[in-house]
Amino acid sequence: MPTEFRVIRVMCSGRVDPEHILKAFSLGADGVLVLGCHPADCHYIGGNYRTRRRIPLLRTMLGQLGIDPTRLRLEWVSASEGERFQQTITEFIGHIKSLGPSPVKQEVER
Amino acid sequence: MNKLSERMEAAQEVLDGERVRWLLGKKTRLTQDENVYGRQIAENRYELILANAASTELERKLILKEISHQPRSAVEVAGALDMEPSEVLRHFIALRKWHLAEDAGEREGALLFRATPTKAATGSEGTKGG
Repeated sequence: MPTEFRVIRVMCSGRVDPEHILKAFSLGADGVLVLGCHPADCHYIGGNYRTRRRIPLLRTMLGQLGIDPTRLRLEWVSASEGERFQQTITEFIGHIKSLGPSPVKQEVER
Repeated sequence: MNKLSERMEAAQEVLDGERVRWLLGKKTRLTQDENVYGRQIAENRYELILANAASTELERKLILKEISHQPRSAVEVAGALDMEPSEVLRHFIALRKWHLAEDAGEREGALLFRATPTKAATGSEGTKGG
């Protein structure tokens, strides 16, 4: 499994505010992967539905800002799906590597 | 053109803003419950409304950033943001209506606008748009 990722654990994917995601990109993250429980399987009833609403909007806004929207992804991975977690992370990091460093990071380094 | 970091900041302000948060929070009510006329908003129409609102708000925040330091005309702002001057003017009118921008005179026949100083910047009571 790749090591170029950092896990930030929250109680529910609904806790991931769009502001957190933009902050991560502002600070130079190359990609953000939000992992949540499957729809209808939320411990907090509707947290993942809220996330599902926000992510497409954020992706649209990232595109408008000139950041590839595929740098942000939402996947459903439950706590018992270790193999799926590993596959999702590996695939996402591969995708981010193919895109190269984030344009925000490039601007900061200039 | 604003730097990417400034554009990100503007996007954060949009997501913190009342308009987008209201639309996000009311999705179920708007798309699943009927309004007083017994009508529902279709899911794809809701997505379009939300995307348009976010896009408009982002443009307005970027314009406000452009005119926050010095008064500028619609053509100057349009050039800096790669937008149509008519579109910028439309945003100026909306921003003025909400007391977020104000007239700042004329230069070579073009109207200038500047961002209204905020309460935090002036230390006085600001005007709440209605």
